[in-house]
Order: sequence, then structure tokens, then C-alpha cells
Amino acid sequence: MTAPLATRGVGHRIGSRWVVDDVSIEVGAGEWIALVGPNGAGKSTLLSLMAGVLPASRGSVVCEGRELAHWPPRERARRIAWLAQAGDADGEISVRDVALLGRLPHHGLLGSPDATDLTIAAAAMADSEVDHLGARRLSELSGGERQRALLARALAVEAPVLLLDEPTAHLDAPHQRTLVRTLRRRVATGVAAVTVLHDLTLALLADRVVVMVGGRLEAQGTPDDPALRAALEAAFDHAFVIRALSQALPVDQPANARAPRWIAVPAC
Amino acid sequence: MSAASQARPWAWIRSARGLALCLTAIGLLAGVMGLAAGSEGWSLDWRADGDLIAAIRAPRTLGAFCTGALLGLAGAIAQGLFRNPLADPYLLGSAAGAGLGVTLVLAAEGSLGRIIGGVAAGWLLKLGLVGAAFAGALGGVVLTLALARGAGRPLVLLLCGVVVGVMAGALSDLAVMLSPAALRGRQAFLLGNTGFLGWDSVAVLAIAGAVALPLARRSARALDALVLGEATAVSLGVNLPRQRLLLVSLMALATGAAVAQAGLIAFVGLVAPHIVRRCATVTHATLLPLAALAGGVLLLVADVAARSLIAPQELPVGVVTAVTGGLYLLLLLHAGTGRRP
Repeated sequence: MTAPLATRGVGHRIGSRWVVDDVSIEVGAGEWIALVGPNGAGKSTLLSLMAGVLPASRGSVVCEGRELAHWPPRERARRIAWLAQAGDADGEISVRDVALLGRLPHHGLLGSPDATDLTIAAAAMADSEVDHLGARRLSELSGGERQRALLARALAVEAPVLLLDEPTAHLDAPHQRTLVRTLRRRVATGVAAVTVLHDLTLALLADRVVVMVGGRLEAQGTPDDPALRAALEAAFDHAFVIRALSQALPVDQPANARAPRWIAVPAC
Repeated sequence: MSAASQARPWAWIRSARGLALCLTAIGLLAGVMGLAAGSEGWSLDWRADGDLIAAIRAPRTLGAFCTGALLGLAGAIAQGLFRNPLADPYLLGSAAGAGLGVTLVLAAEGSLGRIIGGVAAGWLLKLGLVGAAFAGALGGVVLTLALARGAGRPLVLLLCGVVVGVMAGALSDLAVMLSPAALRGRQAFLLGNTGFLGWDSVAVLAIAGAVALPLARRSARALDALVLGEATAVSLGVNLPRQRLLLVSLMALATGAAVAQAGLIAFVGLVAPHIVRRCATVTHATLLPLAALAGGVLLLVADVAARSLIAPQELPVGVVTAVTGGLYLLLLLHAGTGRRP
């Protein structure tokens, strides 16, 4: 079976600098990948390339065996949901309408949301805990509330590939937990997820961690792989150390949920 | 705001429509003498006034509504497309471009009129004016976008719009200098005036509206998606280059038609969508027609005010909207209502 999404030597150049340089990764169905790396490592750019919102200067992105650039825009949009880095969206439309925009690839510009779309959007709003904010405007929300509203939009696409750029930005601990649970529930149904994360303890909950430095792929592996953990510490200039948790924390999720095993401790 | 914004938009549509009908009635009754009590402005002797209403006041009132509606629609499109609450056809160089197009046609009119003559020339002129205004509006906004290198930076975009406006104005001045015959027409034009609107103008305006509004509404969901950013809109499958081209053309059509008939009327396009958003939380499918309705109502109010404020003299309606709209814009900038800069 072909992978839902894969990059083949993909690169993106701004001026003479390669922001993303020759990166090849493959996301499997039912797999959660955490994309980590220091500031300016090219994580967001790579995610934009994978979403097809940024053209690749070199290499290609392949979705279900077919190059992303060859997909009709709407069909591509139905397969890949992308949550932009926080900060760009601000407007006078209601949270409910924002979530419904996630259904746009399904009914198109000229169609209008039907009962199924409304149900799915409502479920996505419940998943990101903004169902009580439905009538509020995006511009009236706090940073965390807005982030959750935008997340609901991405979830409402119900795409087999979910690309989230710093989804935990502005979120407090309970909402971070909700996000991880929602993500795991979706991944358990076969969704392929890639998340850019700055919280390394959260990143070490993923099935696979991909480390980027200076636009290049530095290392990848499962959190249980000692080589991966060593590469991770080195990528962040040993500003933290990864410790094993002596006691597994309780986990109340079914399917492929895994108890947190690792914690990143700042080495100040 | 939240209580008001949760109200169904239909309630607002109904009240705006009612207001529009009342204003239309007032517009029909008010003569050039305005509403000043005791003036002949209030007279309604059907035998004497019937012809007057049918020939002058009805097209003027209807035309004012249509002009305002087109400007409101153009403003709503511009603000959505450029993700900029301060966008307005007047501030984006498109109105100034339309003005330049019209001036050029007026300057060429003298020779054209002599060749063809009569009614045919009148209609040809009308069509030429609309075409030139459309081309000028399109050229103005494209030049502004090129100078600003896209619409990403709101204040840069506005600044470039001002630059294009000044350049188009200077070129218009030059055209008038070379062909002084165009001076009188252009003067009325610069001030923005509903006094010359006849039934032929109403027809042109109505056709432009009938084309622009339904087509713009077909792109309403794309405008909604643009609220979340251009990249997110692309990720949702929106064909951005095509939507941009379509929406800029529709904005130019609406602006061009309005400017060709009634001259430069500032700020209606800026203020109308703002008023709608202040009253209700709506998506663009509702915002576009509501902004048109609000624009129409605004210009009807301004038109009645222009006829009444210094009656028995008449103010050009563009002066009324420029002063009140300018104050509104200043208020908006100063109040810092927490919206995007």
C-alpha cells in the first residue's frame, strides 16, 4: 500500500538559502510523527510543502503515490488538512462558520453545507472544546480559544492526513491533554498525523520523532531509541536532558495509546 | 456587540429594506429645494409634479441607491479579498483610475459627438464611459497591487493606493488642460453628483449590479476561507489566482459603473461593510448583499442630505460622503477597536 504522504528529496529555497534541503520522510497510515528542531530549522516550511500550500524548489511531495502538484486542488484538500502556525487568522466570522470552512473541500465553493457537514463540524468543535463558543467571532477570542477554533476547522476536514503546525501554541495543560487525546483517537482510526511541536515531552509521546536542524533531516526514530534521544539532545545544544520516568503515568485511552515514558528536563 | 451580533441577519435585512423604501419615498418627494419646511420641495401636486418625479426624481433616487449599492459591494469584496478592513475602491486607486478613464473619454467626446451626432452618440458615450471607467478601475487597482507587491501589508497597500490616486488625478488634470471642453463634465464628476442620473444611468447601474452581485456571491465561500489566511484558503482547495482575478474584476466593474454614472463618491464602500459587521456576525454570502443594501441606504441618506442641508442650494453628494465618511474613518483609526491595523 502506498503511503498517505511522503516527501522525496524535497527542498525549498529562499534567495540563495535552502530553508528545507533534501528531506525525504514517509508518513504511514495510523502513525503520529512529531517534527522537532530548534528555531529556524525549517519545520514549518516542510509542513507547508507537505500540505501543498508552498511549491517545492526541488524534489516532490507524493500523496497516495501521486505527486501533490498533480492533484486537483479540491481533491488534495480533501486528503490533507493543514493547520497554519498561529497568528495569521483573525476575522469577523463566527467560530461555527470557521469550523464549517473545514467542509469546504467536500461541498465546494458553489455548494453549501448539508446535514452531514453540520454534524461533522459540530463533532470537530466538541473535539477541540469550542462547542460553547460557536456564536462568538474569531476576533473576540483569546489566543488559546482561537487556536482551538482553528484546530476544529482542521479536524472538520476529516482528512486521512493531518498536518498541524504547533497545535499546542497558546493552549493550557488541560487543553494540551485534550489535543493529544483527540490526535490519538484520530490516529487510531488510520489517520496519518504530523505535528510540529516545541514541547519535547509532548513530542516524545508520538510514534516517531523526526529531528530537523538547519533545513536538513538530522535524525528520526521512536522515542525508545537511545540514538534518537541522543540526537535530540544534541540538536538542541544539550539545553535539556531526556530522563526516563520511573513511574508510568496513568493513561485512560484505548487503542495505541502509550504511557508517557520520557520527560525532557531543562538543563539550566 | 454580542447580543446584536447573535440576532438573525434577516431582521437587519428587513429593517434596512424598510429604511430604503422610506428614503426612496422621501427622495421622490424632495425637490432640489430640499426638505426645508414651506419650500416648494414638499409640494405634491400630481398633475404638476408627476412628470418631474418620473423624469428627474425617480431616476435620481433609484440611481443613488444603485450607485451606493455598487460601492458597498465593491468595498465588501475589497475588504474580504485583501483581508484588510480599510480597503475601499476609493483608497485602492480603482476609483481614481475610473475617474481618469472617464476624463479621457470626456476629453475625446467633442470630436466624437461631431462625427456621429444625436442620440446614438449619447448612448455610445454612455457605454464608452462605463467601459473606460471599468478599464481605469481595473488598471488602478492592478497598479496599486503591483506597487504594494501584493495585498499582504495593509498600510503599504493603502499608501500605494493613495500614490496611484494622486498620479491618476494628475493625469486627469493634464487631459483637461489639453482639452478644456472636458472641464465642466469633469468638475461635476470629481465632486460626485447624483443630480445627472437619468433612466439610462439607472439601467447601466442596475445591469452592473445584476451581474456583479450574483457572481461575487458565488465566491463568498472563498472570501470566508481567506479570513483564515491565504495559505489556509489554498489548503482548503480554493483556486486563489482565479478567485483573485474574478473578484478584482467584479470590484472594478462595480466601481467603474458607479464612478462612470455618479462620479467619485468616497467612503461609501469603506463604511457600508463596517456597518453590517457592526450589526451582525455574518459570512460573506450574507455580507455581500447586506453591504450593497447598506451602501444604497447610505447614499440615499447622503443624497437627501445633500439636497436639504443648504436648501435651496444643493451640495454635491460626494462632498457629504467625503466629510462624514472621512470622520468615520478617523474615528475607526483612533478608537483602535482591537481590529487589525
